[in-house]
Amino acid sequence: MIHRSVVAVLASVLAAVPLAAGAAGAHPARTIVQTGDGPPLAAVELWFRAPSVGFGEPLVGIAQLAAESVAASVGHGEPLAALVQDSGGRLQITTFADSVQVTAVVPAASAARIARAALDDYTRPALTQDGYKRARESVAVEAAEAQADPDAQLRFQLFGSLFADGPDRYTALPTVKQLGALPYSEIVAFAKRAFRAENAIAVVTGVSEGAPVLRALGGTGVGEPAEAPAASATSPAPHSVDGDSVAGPAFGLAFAGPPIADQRAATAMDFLADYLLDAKLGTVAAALRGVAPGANVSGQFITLHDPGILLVEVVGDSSSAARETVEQALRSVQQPLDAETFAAARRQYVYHVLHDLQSAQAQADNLGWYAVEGSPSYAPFNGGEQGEYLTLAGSLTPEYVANVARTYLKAAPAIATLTPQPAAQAPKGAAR
Amino acid sequence: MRTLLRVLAVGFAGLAAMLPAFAAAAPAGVPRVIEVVSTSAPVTGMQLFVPAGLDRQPRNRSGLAAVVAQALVQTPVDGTSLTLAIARAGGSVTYTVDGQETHFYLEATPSRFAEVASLFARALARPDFGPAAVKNAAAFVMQRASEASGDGLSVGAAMFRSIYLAKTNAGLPTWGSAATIAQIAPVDAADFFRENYVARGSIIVGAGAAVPGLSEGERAVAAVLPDRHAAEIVASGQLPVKARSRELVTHRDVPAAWIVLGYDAPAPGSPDFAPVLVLESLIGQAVGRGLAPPLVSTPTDAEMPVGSLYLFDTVPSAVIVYANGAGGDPTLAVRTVATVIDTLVAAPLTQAELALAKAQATGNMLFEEATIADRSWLTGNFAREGAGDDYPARVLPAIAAVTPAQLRSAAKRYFTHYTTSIVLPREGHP
Repeated sequence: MIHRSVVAVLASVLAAVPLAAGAAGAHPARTIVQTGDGPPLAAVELWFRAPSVGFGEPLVGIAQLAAESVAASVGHGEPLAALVQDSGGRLQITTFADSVQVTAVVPAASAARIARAALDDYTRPALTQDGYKRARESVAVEAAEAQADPDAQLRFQLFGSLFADGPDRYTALPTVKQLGALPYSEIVAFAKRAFRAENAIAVVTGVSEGAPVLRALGGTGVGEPAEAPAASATSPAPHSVDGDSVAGPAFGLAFAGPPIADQRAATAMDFLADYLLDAKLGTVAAALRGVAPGANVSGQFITLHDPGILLVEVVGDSSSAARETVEQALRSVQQPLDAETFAAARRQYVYHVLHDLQSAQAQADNLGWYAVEGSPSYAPFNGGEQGEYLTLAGSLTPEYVANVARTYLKAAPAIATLTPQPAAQAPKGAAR
Repeated sequence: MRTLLRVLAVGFAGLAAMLPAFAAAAPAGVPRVIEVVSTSAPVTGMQLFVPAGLDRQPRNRSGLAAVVAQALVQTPVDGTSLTLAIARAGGSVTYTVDGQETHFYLEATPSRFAEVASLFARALARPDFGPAAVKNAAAFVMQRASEASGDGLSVGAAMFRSIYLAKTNAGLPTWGSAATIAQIAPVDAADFFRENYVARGSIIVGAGAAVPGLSEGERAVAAVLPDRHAAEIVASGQLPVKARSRELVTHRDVPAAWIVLGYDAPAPGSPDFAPVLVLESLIGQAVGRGLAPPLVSTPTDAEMPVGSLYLFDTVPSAVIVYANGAGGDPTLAVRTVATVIDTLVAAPLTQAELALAKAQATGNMLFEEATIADRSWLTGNFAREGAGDDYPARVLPAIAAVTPAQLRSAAKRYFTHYTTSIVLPREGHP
C-alpha cells in the first residue's frame, strides 16, 4: 500500500487564501490529508477534543446537541447539513466520551468547499434557535434508537460500572429528561470552547490532490488540540449491573486495558479482540455455537488515551453456559498459543485491520481517532503494512500476547446483564 | 438485500485512474479478465462472475444456485473448509447469487492474495457435493430463506422481481423455499456446477492493490474453469409482465405493512440509463423529504421508512420505491411519486433544480462504490450486461449531461405505470 501524505506547507498558496484569513487566520491544530486514486469520494472530518458531558458538571448529551446545532444553523450561509446534502454527500456527527467527530462524505470535487465551510461554521459558531430546535429533534430520535439497541444499552451499563468518574461513565446521547435540561445558553458556551480551531484536528481522505483542501483549511497544522485529553478514573472494584432489554437477553464484560501510549500492549489487545471476538471466526463465536446457538458475539479493544477498554458483548443469550464459555475463552488466551495457531490468527487479524480501511470514511475515521487520542503516527492507516501499527503487529509473539492477556484480563471486569421486559412493559414507539 | 439492490458508481475526477488498466479480449474458452487497480487500496480483491444464476436452476429446485455456491465455500481444503482456510491465510471469500449469475469475491492482504486465490482455485477444481456437504449447505440456505421471509423490503422486492423477470427463472427467490430446497439432491448440485461453472460467459475482475499475486491468482482461477458454454437458461413459459398497475398482496411475519412500487427501467448502457438514475434520485429525495429528523443519521435501506432503489443487476432492470408502515402512512410514498412525476411531466426542472438532482444522483452512485468489493462488482456487472468494460467511466459524465427534456421524456416513458407489492403482517402478529 502506498500513501502519499501531504504535509508540505504551501506558503505561496497560503498567501492567496482569503477565506482562511476570514476565519481569523485560524487553522486546525493538526491537519492530515491523505491522497488516493480510488473512487472520487472524499471524507472531510473535523475532530474536537471535548468531553461528551461538557467541561463542568456532567450534562449528558451536550456535545452531541451542540455539534448538531451548529450543523443545522444558518450560521454563515446555508446550514452545513443542507450544504453537504446538496453536494450529493452525507453528514454524520458522532460523540465519544472525550471527543466530537463531524464527518462529511462528499464527491471529491466538493471536498475543499465543504472543508472550508465546516471549519468556518464550527470554529466561528453562529448558532440559531432554529438550528438548536432542529438538532434537539434529531438527537431525541437518535437517543430513542439507542435505547432500543441492546449493544448501546450494554455499553452504557458497562462503562457506568467500569468507571468511577469522568466522561466515560456516561452515554453520549441523553434521555428525554436530560435533553430537556440542556438550555440553549449552555450549548452556545460549550460550542465556543469545544469547537475552537486550535482544538480541532482536520482529516481529509479520498482526494487526488491535497493542495486545495490544505488551502481551504488555512494551511498545515502539526500541533496537539488545545484541550487536554479528558480523564476518566476506573472503579477499583467494578460491580455487576442488571438492566432491562427491549430486544432480548444479553450480557457483556468490560476490562480496563493499556493506554494508547503503550502501543505494543494496545496492539496485542487488538490482536486478542480479533482472535476472540470476531463475530464469525472468533474463538468465542465458535465455542458459543455449541452451547448457545442463538447468541451473537461482538467486541473490540477500544484504543483510548488512558485506559483502553476491551469490550465483550453477547446478544441473544445470557445463560450461565454462555457466560462460562466466554470466561473460558478469556482464560485460554492467558497461555501462549501454539506457533501455527498464532501465525494463522495474526494473518487473519492483519487482514481484518486492512479490510476495515477501504473507504475514504474508514480511513479518515482511523486517522482522526488516533490523532485525537494523542498518537497520530500509530494509526493503522498511517503507512499500512509498513507503518508503525502493523510493524508492531508483526513483532508480537505468543508469549508476549499471553502476558498482556494475563495483565489485563485477570482483573475483575465490569459485567452487565440485560433481561427482556415482558411485552406489556415494552415502550412503544421507541424507534421511528 | 444490499446485494440484490446494489446501485452503481464511479467518478469524474479520478476517472483516468479508474479506467480498466487491462481489459483483455478473451479468447474462446478463457474467462474475460478486467483489472481495476488502485495504488492507495489497502487490500487486493477479485470478483469471479460465473453464469450460474437463478435463471439456470429448475423451478422445482429453487435455491439450487445458492446451495451449490455454499457447498463450494464449505469444500474442504487442507483439512478445513475453504472459508476457514482462506481466513487463516489472511483473506476472505463471499458469494452472491443473482438472477443471471453468481459471483464470488476473494479479498486478502496484498502479499497473501496469490495463496488465497490458489486455495479458491483448488476448491473450484474439486468441489465437495457429497451427501453431507449438500445437506449442510442446504440447511444454511434454508435458514437464509427463513430470514428473508421476515424482511418486508426483501419480500416486496422479490414479489416484484418474480413479475418483471417472469420470462425466465431469474425472478425466483435467491434462497429458494423450504419445499424446493428439500428436493435438492447431491446429483443436482454436481450437475448444476458442472454445467454452469464454465469459462465461457465468466468474467474475472481484479481490483484493489496491484501486486504480482493478483495476476497469478487470476490465472489460477481461470485455469480451472472448463472451456465450454453454460447450460441453457430455463424458460418459464410465461410472458414478461410489464408494470401495469398490478397489485400483489402477501402476508408475512413482519411487524408492519410494506408497500413496494415497481417500475420498468432501462438497463446499463441504454441512453435512458443516466436520466433514470437522476429521476430515481429525485424520487428518493422527495419521498424522504417529509421525514422527521434525525438530521445526520445514515440508516440502511431496510431501516429507511421510505426510499428508492435502482435494480440493475439484471436485464431487464427496474426501479422500486418502498415505504414501511412502521414509519408512517405508506400510501404517502405512492402519492409523492405521482406528484413528482406529474410535476416533471407538466414542466421541466429549472437549471438549479436539475443541478441539485444531478449532484445527488452522482453522490448516490459514488457511495455505492466505496469498497473494493463494490467497485469490482460494478465493473463486472456492467461488462456482463453488455454496457462495456469502461462503462463505469462513462456513467457520471452521462449524468452531468442529462437535460430537462431527457428527464421529462424518461418520466413519461418509465414512471407512469407500476406494479404494487403489498406485504402485510399475518393476523395475530404482535
